[in-house]
Amino acid sequence: MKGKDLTDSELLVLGLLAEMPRHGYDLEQIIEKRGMREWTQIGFSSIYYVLGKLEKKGMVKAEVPTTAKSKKCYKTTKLGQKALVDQTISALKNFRPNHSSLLMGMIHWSTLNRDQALESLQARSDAVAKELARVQDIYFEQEPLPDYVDAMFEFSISQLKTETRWIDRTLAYMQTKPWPS
Amino acid sequence: MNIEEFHNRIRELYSPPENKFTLVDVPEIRFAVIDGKGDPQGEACAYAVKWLYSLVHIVKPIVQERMGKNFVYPPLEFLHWADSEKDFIEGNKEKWRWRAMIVFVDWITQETFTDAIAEVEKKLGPAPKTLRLENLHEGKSVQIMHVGDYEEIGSICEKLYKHYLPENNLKPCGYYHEIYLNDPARVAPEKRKTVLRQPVE
Repeated sequence: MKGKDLTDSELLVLGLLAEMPRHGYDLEQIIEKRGMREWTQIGFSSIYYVLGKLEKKGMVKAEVPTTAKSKKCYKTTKLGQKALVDQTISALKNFRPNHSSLLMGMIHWSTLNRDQALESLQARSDAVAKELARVQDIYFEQEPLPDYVDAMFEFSISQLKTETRWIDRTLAYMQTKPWPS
Repeated sequence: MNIEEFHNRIRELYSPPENKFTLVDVPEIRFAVIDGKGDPQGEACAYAVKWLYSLVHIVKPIVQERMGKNFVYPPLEFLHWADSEKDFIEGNKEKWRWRAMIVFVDWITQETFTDAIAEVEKKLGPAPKTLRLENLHEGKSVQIMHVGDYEEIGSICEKLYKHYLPENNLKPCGYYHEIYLNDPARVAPEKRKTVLRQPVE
């Protein structure tokens, strides 16, 4: 299936066009407004590049402008719709472990001295707290949200909270435990 | 009313048939409201909407917990009127008055509401002066579901006020009411659902 070749940016644009036909400029605005640059590699200038690639793959088509001045409006083709559905199913179904730098740090914990280890973990805790506040700000900013986007935020927020709890617990333990010399 | 009953009742009120005016009896419902004057497409209106959605964001977890799977994101609703009937009917929108509203079920306490305002003020600054909780009891009302572009609403209103109401011996009493069931940023114009309602006597 050709659809497997879609990049994250292509999939994102395809999804937005599946909601309704849009101009390139509308796409840029909506990507900005929904904070989609957060979790994809899409850049400001590349929208037309992405549209061009999707067009070449036959997944979107541009409606011919009615007047010389009107902008091109893009919409999904049947092939595009199918690719979108297939990739969405596969993204939901398949578990892809994401390797946190945390694990790489923990596995070499014993190479650090006590201060280095505890300070690094504390710094991570601060970074996670900062990220949590940032995500919560975006969550606030984005209302009204459909329930499935609500669920996405809930997922991100609960993961960050879980990590915070884990750091607190681990720090508390490592702080009280005698450090091996 | 228990939650299930309330939910079914709301469903009836918020999903009338398309292409056909129907009569309903709308019970008293409580809303968070903000009043304003001028073009409903204007900035003041957008700011009011932003405020209401932000309040929903704060109380949402409380409501979600209580409603469970029956939780439905409350839609944005608007009442429109004008000081002179002429301005209203002729669509002189700069002279219209509006009330932006979102359902805040009555078990959300005034205290919760006040706390939510304080939370939102931290981000958006001072609350609009007219922001308050208010009960609305529309009673006997005519309503219809419109599926399509917001631009087409005018012609449906014309049918309602010029034909349906007089032909059925009904008179408008109370404010004209629109309920937007879709976010226009996410739903194509031809698929947008709007409930149009007019209390009558």
